[in-house]
Amino acid sequence: MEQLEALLGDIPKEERRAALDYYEGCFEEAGKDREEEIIQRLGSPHRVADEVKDDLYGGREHEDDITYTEKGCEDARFCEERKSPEKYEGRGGKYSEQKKRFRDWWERQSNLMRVIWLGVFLAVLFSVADGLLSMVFGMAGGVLKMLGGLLGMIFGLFAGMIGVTVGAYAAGAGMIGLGVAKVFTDPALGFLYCGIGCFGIAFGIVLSILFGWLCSKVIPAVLGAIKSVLKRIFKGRRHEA
Amino acid sequence: MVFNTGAALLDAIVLAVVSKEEQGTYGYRITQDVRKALEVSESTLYPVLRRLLKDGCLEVYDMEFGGRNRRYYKITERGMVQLHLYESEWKEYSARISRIFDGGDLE
Repeated sequence: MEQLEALLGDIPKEERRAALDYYEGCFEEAGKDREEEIIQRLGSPHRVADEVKDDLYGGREHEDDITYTEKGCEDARFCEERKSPEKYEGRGGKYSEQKKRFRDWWERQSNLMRVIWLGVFLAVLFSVADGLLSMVFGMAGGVLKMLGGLLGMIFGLFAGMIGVTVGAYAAGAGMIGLGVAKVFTDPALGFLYCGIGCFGIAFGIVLSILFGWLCSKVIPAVLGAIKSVLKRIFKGRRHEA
Repeated sequence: MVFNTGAALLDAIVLAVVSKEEQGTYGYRITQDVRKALEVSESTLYPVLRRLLKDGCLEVYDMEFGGRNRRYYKITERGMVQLHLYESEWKEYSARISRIFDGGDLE
């Protein structure tokens, strides 16, 4: 009876009370001697619970399936030990068989066992959550580092371009200065230096033009590419439709 | 025995058994009485009682007995009407079948 009460835990209180009263009454009226007979007839608490629930939720369309023989109700769905009626599966979807099995197992657990299982479940849950969070944050950190590196690279590239150009100008100017000074002492050398200096300046100018062109062309192109990639990621569906 | 008892026939039998008691009768007694004719189990009859109750053919009242709630079932007006219907149907039905076994003409 205890088992039956547990197994009927998921039906409305009044229905459960009515069913339990009925069966309790049967056992009491029968007396100790005939108790065994009744238990034989009923089969198992699981079978009785299934039959009660099937009657509650089964609906009239299944009455034709039920045939009462001299040996008792022979509904093919109940005759095999604890076979779950297809109705439950149909109703709940593809997981209702497992859900039902789980529920029955859970009902069988004593309160102590239930506490233990809950503890195990929580421990596992928290470890998994902890691991997941660490992974997520680790990944986020990695991504941030990557982005930082990327920015550094770009910055370095620009710095390099500017540096080379400025360097060219500076070297050129420097050389011219030197040359002008040398002209007074060693004219040939002085003019040579000036010449080299002019080359330097010219080189600087060429670099400036080159880098200027690069920036005006390359930067918009790169930005455009990034924009289109982002667009594809976030609005891809619209284009596919 | 060999023959299966359909839901309707079982309803009729339970109604007949309950109708014998003017004041109504309780679950275990009903099972005992039905088992005089059929070897049914308590779990077979519970849905039948529920169904008859839902259809208004039976009504219940509870009475304390030995510190426990004992539920009594009584037949209603509607139940009596249904029972008479079943009885006449059964007379017809069983007569026709008997006739076939006895080799007469079907009228």
